[in-house]
Amino acid sequence: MHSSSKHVQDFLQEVCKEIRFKSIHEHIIKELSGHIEDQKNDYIDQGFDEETANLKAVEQMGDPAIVGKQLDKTHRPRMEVSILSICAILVVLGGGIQFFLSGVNTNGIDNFSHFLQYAPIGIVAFVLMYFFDYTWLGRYSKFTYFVLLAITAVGFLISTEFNGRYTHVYYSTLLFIPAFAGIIYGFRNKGYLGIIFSSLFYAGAAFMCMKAPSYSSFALLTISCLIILTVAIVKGFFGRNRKLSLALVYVPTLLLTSVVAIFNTVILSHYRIGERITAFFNQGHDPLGSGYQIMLIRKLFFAAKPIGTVSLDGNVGNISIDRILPNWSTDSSLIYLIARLGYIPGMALVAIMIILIIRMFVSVLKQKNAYGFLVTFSACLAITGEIVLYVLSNTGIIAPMSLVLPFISLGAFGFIINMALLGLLLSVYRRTDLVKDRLPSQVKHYNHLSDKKSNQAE
Amino acid sequence: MKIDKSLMSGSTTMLILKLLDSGDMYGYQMIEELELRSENVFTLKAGTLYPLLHTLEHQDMIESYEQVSDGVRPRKYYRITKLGKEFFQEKKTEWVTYTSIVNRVLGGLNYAFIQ
Repeated sequence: MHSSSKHVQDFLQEVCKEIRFKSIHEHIIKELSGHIEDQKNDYIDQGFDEETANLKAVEQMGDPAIVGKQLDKTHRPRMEVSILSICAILVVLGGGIQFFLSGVNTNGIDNFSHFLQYAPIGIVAFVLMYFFDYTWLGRYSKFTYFVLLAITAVGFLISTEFNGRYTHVYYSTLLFIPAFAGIIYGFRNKGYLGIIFSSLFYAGAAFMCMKAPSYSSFALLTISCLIILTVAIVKGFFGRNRKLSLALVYVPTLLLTSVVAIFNTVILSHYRIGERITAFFNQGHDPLGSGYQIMLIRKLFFAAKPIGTVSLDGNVGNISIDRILPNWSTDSSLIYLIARLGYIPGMALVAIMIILIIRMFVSVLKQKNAYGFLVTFSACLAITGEIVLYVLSNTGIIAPMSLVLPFISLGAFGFIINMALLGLLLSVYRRTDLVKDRLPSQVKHYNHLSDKKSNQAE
Repeated sequence: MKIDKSLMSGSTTMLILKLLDSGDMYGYQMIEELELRSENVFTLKAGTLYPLLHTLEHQDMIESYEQVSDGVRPRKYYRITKLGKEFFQEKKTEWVTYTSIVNRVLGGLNYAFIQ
């Protein structure tokens, strides 16, 4: 370093003092010091000595405080206010629902106090993820994945079964989805092999879902990972032959799905998943057996009043709804709400969820860099997948599953993890303009240039 | 000839987009090129240029990438996007209309050349 570069350093320091968004400092210093260097060299060419050239070059830049203030105005961390407000509304609604309904129901007295205990933890998780530099997850995606896999495996040893299932897998699945986005990012530009390796990582997580067994986690994981992989292929992460890459993903998927479906419906029809699938296709065949829940949900849904409590006829006519729907605070919150308060409040809640989904996807589309796009897309998919499956199963369209309605249904883990996912999504949005690695589709224009350069370098 | 700064501030964005329309450039190069093309009338300060470039990048009018040129060190190059080109055409039409009207009012002789 030249002694005279002190002027330059002082100048850059003064500029950065004005820029509040610290993460951008490095980029600005690099660009401005390059500029000063060019200017200095020009002055040297004009015959000035180095010291004077340096001084003049810095002077040429203008007042550092003004430059800094201008740059500060341009580089405010971005805040997605609409997503944040929708989330706040949902959290308050969730609390309200637990408060309102736990007072009414004999089996849910503690629900609200439970909510009060985990809600602050969820908010802390959100804030931590919001300020967390998400690019770390990209650099250590395999590490994150294996830690998650280990925690899930340990979960089988320490947690207890609930109705013959391990429930913790659902929560780790929600985290596996963004971890999978990191894995895909790690295997970008690796061609077909990258796709195969990514699929193996998916298989590890899918195995955990099978082991639980958790049909809902498996569905959520599989659909999300398929979508992420498809989008990554279409965007050119794995090279140019997109059709062959897609075939590499979908041919085995379709084969496997049909084999599993046949296996379940024909050979293992006595098995729980098989039973549910059969029930799903012929809902009326056994109203008191496995099809009972879906029949009940449909009955409640179609009998619901616009506003007010549903009145059922027949043998369930005089039983209160929370007795009919034992999981009303968790798996069946939406249908419970519809039956208890009417379909207008129920649909209003669904409408808020839909607005959230739209806003999340808009923020995904604004992402310019490759990893940010994948992470925010995966977090968005995990939350959206949960909402879609929940609404479908609570309106009797698909068979009832064990699910979480993000921010609304009761449960500490579900709430905290969904808050963390949303925090992650907003953390990416916050850094939209910072992270460099651009989406491949945006790089292709000057690929030939950099190719030439790298050839020369070799 | 020195030009009143307020005349220039509105058109700086347009001038930058025009420069980038003719090829990818880095910041210092833009200042030099602008001086050259305007015969030293437009001297853009770095303090004005970079915030403007960064804003245009946020608005997706331009994109940046790093590239080593003259074998010295990587420089941040800017490239105009499709959106930027459209925006530039819009601004240019606006500018031509505006200047032709001003010239007509002033009764300037250059009116015929601007078309």
